[in-house]
Amino acid sequence: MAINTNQQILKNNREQPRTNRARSDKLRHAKHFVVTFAFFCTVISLFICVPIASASTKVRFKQIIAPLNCLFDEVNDGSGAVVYLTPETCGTMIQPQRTNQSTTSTTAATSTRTQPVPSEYYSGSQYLDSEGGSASSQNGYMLIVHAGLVYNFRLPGDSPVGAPRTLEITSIHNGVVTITFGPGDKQTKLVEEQLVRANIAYDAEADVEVTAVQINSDDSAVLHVNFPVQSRLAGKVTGTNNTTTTLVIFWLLTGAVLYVHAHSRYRSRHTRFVDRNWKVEETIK
Amino acid sequence: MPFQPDLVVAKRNNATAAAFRTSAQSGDISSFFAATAETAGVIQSLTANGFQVGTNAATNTSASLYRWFAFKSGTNFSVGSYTGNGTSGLQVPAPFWSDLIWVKRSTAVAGAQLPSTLTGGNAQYFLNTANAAAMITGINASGFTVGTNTSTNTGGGVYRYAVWRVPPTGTLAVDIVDGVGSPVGSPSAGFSSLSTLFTCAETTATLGTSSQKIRISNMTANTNWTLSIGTTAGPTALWNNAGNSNHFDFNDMTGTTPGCSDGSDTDLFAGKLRVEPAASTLANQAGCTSSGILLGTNQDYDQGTVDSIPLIVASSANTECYWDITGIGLRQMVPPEQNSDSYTLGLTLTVTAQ
Repeated sequence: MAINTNQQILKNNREQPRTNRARSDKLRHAKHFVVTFAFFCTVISLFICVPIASASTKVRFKQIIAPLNCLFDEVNDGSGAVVYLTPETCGTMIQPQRTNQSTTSTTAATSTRTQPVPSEYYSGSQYLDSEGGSASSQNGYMLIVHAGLVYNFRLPGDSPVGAPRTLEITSIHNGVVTITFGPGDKQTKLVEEQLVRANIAYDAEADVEVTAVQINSDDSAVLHVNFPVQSRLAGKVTGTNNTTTTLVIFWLLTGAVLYVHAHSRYRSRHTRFVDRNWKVEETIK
Repeated sequence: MPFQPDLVVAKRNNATAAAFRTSAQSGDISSFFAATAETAGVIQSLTANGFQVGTNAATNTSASLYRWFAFKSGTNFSVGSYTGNGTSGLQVPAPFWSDLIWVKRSTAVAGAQLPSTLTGGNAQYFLNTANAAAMITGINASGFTVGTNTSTNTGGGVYRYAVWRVPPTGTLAVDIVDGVGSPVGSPSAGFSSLSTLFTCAETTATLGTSSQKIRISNMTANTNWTLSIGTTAGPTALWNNAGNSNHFDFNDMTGTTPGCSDGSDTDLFAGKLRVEPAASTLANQAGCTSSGILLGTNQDYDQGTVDSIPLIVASSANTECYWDITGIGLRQMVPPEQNSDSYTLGLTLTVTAQ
């Protein structure tokens, strides 16, 4: 028993330094922890702000964008001249200048389209805006087209005496309109509702936007052509009072339109284009 | 005492009238609650750490015991003086909506008081006299009104007053309420309908209408706060359709034509939203005023620069009041050829104590 006790004492004595070291380590660790924790708290406190009382409530803003409703009115004034009318927001309607009135039909459903001969429909060049301005271009141009038509135009900055640029309706077939920009014969295809942005001036931005508004089963189509404001021009016009005078866009029409019909003496046909669906609604009176 | 008082009330421990003095009284002069004129030698001055008494028996008779209490002006206590005009409805200024009002004329006229728990138009005398009308006739956020009773409003009469309020324990809040003040379930602002156009177009809306009023309620003691509006989803939010397939922007100011063409932000959409609070209408709760409240300036959201637009900034405004804001103009530039659809943009109105 005594031996055991001594052994125990010896054991305890042997372990004493180890225990002291352990205690010392613990104390050191504890001190280190306290110092670290204090430092951590000090650092954190730098980022803690006094809470500011606030309250909030939510509100929802709503915007409805309705389909674009373009109503084409085709009016025969009785003298044989046909006038196409569209709302201003649909763009400037290209007005055909026909010299031959033999292409009318009795109804839209049974109308026969005569392939136009440019020289037969138009005589000479024509500015879209009779005043020479460009205000009408703000909403672009609405064209009724078929294969073979060529539209001449100039971009802002083009020489007024140089050859104009061209937009040719190369083909319309199976619901696909193929157009070609000249010079350079840059060709692109559009299906109905598709928008194509073309960089024909080879600068940093698209110069022409063409939307296939509607492609008809008789291989005619309605195109919307728009000329987006160019940033280089926008910068220039900032300091002017009349931006429109700086944008001289004019077109020469060399080909044109069909849909011939004079079923009624006045207002013979309405065509409604609904947004990107551009559904056709016809009312024959 | 540990502060310089603005009101000291002293009462001898026997049958001597109580006296008081406020910091609104200058010189050696003190008031009595009874129908006694102000006099000198009572409470002669208020000092940085107490008050000095004279030799009047109301405050300093040898070997007499006196009880006193004192208040210092702050967010819940204030003193002042005014001159009567003899016209009912005279507004006496105070910095808050009071819960207790004392008024005492400088001459030998009985003083009066009105606790906020006493309604009906009458007020009380300090003395053993029945309540009477036309003394303190109303309490509002800017002070109180008095009638034509000589205790509170005789033309040319000089009156001392002290006001207290129970410290406010309410909150600062913003909500959208209907015509009768009930919260609107799903508030919204509808922009003018627009058709898909080939050009950029502006639509307008009004935030805050008679049926959807923005109501700020400040039931705290803080007089300074700001109401602002920002998108709930932050600066990268977009106008979205229900299917989240069509979008346009609300804060793209870097396009060639701001709002009409996509700029240098990270998304591919154009559009800008302008908030116009400058000409909006601010209506205050009855009994409150719009003093200290300024309408914000008209601004466009500009990603990273203007992500939140202040609508109202209040500085030293009334407390324990609410205000309704209507007629905040909104202008959204919708980019060209935006697909037809129903779009929404989530906004959050936030009122923050300053």
